[in-house]
Amino acid sequence: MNRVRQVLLSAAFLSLSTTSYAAFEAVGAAKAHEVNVSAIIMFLMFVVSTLGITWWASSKTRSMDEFYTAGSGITGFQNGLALAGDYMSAAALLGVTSMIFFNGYDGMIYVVSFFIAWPLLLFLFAERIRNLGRVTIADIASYRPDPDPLAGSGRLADCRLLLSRGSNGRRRPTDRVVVWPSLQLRSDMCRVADGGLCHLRRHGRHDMGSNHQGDLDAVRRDIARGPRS
Amino acid sequence: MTPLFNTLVRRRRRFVACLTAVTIVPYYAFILVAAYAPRLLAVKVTSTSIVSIGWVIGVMLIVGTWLLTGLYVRRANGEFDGITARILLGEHK
Repeated sequence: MNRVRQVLLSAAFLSLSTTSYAAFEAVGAAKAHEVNVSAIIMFLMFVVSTLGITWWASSKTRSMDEFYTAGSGITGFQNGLALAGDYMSAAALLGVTSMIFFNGYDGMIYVVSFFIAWPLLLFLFAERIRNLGRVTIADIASYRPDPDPLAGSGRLADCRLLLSRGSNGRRRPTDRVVVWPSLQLRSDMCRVADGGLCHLRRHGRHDMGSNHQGDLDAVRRDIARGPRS
Repeated sequence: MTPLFNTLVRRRRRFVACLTAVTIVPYYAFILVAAYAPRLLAVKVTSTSIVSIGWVIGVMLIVGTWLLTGLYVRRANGEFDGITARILLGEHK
């Protein structure tokens, strides 16, 4: 039953994305385009191969350390550099350069918008999950009070989180955060996608290694216990 | 819940709200001007220059985001982490 729902949701998202694409096309050019079969096939090949690699990699994951990139050996600064590189190659070099080439200095609007998005992400989202140890966004999402992906989407989820175990083995209560900053930031799509993850977890069908699942359970127990003083 | 912890949460929340406002307000002002009064942004910096004011303001916005991020990182790693460490040590106020 859940799987059926997952498939339906995925189909809904797919249709949503294609609808917006169609709208963009309609605005951009009035004349009808032929279906670009080769482009669609290329796109599907990329999607399938990415999913395949992910599936293969996750089947090799046996522990929490392996779950993270490079055995969690990447520092925050290195990760930031990687993000910056990723960002500059795709968005700045290809997108903005061609935007300015075709539209002149109006392209500046897009450059600015790119840059504004990142500090906002930092302030409104990343800041809330700072210092949470190894809890990932998916962990937080999967521990929302209401696991049903579609019900109660108008409600703020206010979770109390703890830092994970301290180095001395003691659990240490430090931080309490409102995990989801605001309804504005948490779009319905995000919510439904997270809800899907949540359902997978609930029914033990999460494809991570068993130890990782155990770690997750530990984290969830931490969260459930609430802050100690 | 210690008073110190409440202080941390309050300070952090206010700081982030300020930063968000400082990010969003100039950006939307820029976008609204670009949408409704593009001529204002098309004015050249000097009469002989090819660089428009919109370009200069755009660069300032970008540099501004860098500065705000730096400000956040500085305070988060300094003051906020300091308070967190003190709470962990068992301090209450």
